[in-house]
Amino acid sequence: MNGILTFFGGLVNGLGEVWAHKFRSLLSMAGIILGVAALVAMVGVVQGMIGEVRDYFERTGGITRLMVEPREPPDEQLHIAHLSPGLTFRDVEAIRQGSPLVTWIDPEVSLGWRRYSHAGRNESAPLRGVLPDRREILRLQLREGRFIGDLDIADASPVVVLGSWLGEQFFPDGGAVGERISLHGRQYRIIGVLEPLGGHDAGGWFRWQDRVGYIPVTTGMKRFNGNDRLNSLAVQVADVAFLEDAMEQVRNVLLHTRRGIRDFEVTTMEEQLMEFRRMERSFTFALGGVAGISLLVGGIGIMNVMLAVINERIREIGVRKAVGARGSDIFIQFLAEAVVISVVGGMIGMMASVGLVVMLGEIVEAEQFRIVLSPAAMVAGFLFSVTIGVASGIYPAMRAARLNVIEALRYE
Amino acid sequence: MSLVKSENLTKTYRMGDETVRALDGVSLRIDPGEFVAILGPSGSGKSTLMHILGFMDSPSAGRLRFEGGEVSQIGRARRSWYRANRIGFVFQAFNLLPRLSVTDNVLLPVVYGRSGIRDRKSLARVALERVGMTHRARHLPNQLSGGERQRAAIARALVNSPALVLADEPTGNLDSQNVDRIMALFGELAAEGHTIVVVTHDEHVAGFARRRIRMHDGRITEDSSMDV
Repeated sequence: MNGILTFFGGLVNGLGEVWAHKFRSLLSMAGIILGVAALVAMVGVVQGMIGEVRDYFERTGGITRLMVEPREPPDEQLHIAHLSPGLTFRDVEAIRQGSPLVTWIDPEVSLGWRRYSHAGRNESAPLRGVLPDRREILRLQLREGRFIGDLDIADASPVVVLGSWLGEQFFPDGGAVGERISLHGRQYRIIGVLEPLGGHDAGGWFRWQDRVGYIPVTTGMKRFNGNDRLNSLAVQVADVAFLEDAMEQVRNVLLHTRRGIRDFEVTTMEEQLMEFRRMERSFTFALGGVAGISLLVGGIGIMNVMLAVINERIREIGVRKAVGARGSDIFIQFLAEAVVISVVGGMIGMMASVGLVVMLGEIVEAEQFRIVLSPAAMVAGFLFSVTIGVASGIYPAMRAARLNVIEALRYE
Repeated sequence: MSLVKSENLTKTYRMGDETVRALDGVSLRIDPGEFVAILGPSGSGKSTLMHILGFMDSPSAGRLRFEGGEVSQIGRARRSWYRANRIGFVFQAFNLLPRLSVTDNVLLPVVYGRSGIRDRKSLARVALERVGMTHRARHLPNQLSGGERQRAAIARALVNSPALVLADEPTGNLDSQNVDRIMALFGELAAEGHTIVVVTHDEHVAGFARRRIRMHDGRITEDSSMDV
């Protein structure tokens, strides 16, 4: 009880000391302030980047996605490799019939950047040929109209769904559905306009996706390429539990369509996931290390100042001991002062971190990723700074507590 | 019963290869209510004696009893308790803490004494009243004159009603007018029953005390009681 009272008195006393030497206190807090601010900003940057990647990962199918990727056929098949038709739309139909574990099939004909023209206005944006399934996988929301349907696929109709950015450019007031837009020298009927993918303040990949225009995959094959080749093919499996079996199914089906030539590979997102986790970890360690070092430097700063303070106040320590203070009283008094410095520094650091995150956000811009102000990081930074402050106050406080009362009283 | 009783107190220091005998067999007895001056040139051992009497230092040899108890048996934490509650200190340089008000300075021994007293303010008021400093209770030490500072320091020494007040050259930093006032105050306190020991090298100051102990080279060379 007495110890607590003494500590509380020490805190009040420490506040007085900090206030009495404002500039020196600020200097001694500088390390802690910068350390906390750096920690919070670093975590914000990492979380922003990681969050972006994670969103992308989730939104593109997550771990239930299987990808069909081209591969060099094995040596014994090299001489017959030309017999394989490669990745074609026939694969899509075969998978649909032969792989019941697959819920969505996601082929794509990438048509690169195209010029979209309407009412004398031109914009360049990516164009892709896809199935209706794409809407389910990316969870695309429509601002108006509808997405590509099965009939559009069957008829290879000249219809287009505009990404939100294109819709904004050509029809800022809406009313796009039914209008015609010129693509590749032909008229396409607009059947829908998408909502922005990640909400209005999303960055990076989502903004990129919002530019894309979609046409039926069959339209892309017939009207643009004149063949049924696909640029990529992926499928979604209903549940992770079926992943292995679904892989087997897809592999078997494709071996059939490829005439037995193993010029493809079915891969999971696992590798990407591992890569992503590795990246997350190394970022956290690297940036956390930087922030940790700056907090450590802050702690050394506090220790340095506390040692100087104690040297300045040897006489005071002597007087206090002479009138009855025990070593533990002196210890608690100076430890409380270090606590005050680190707590005040930590709080200023938390405030500074908000400013730093806002400033970094301005510099980085939403195009790349958003910087997240993490309350957890603020609290962690604060607690860490207080811990460091207390730890760095222990040694000076011990020195103060051990001073000999007679020598301390004689000290000039 | 005697308040302080020492037998053959010896204190030796090692300074380099040499052994210095700061106290060389000091035997004395101080009774409650006495007003004693310990006189002697610097190096005579008077400060060492005061430190030992004040629980700040321990003798190398010899016996010392305080209020009937053997001082060498007292542990370190208990010594702090004695300094807070049973001994009052007055220093040459006043030694008030500059950032504390007069009242808070006076209350330091109460804070560290852990007596559990709730009404600290009235304790401080009583002590400040005794030295005539109530009007300065809220001032900071640097707003006081030298004489006022020493009176505040005396109030601090008195606040816990100690058995013994030790003053180490209490007038060394004062002008002659204040010297007389402070020493007169000690005289009054002694008359009220406080036990006062003043260490000084000044014959004039020692003249205020009723008993004078003269020291030289760590020994008592004269111990004279003077009836007033």
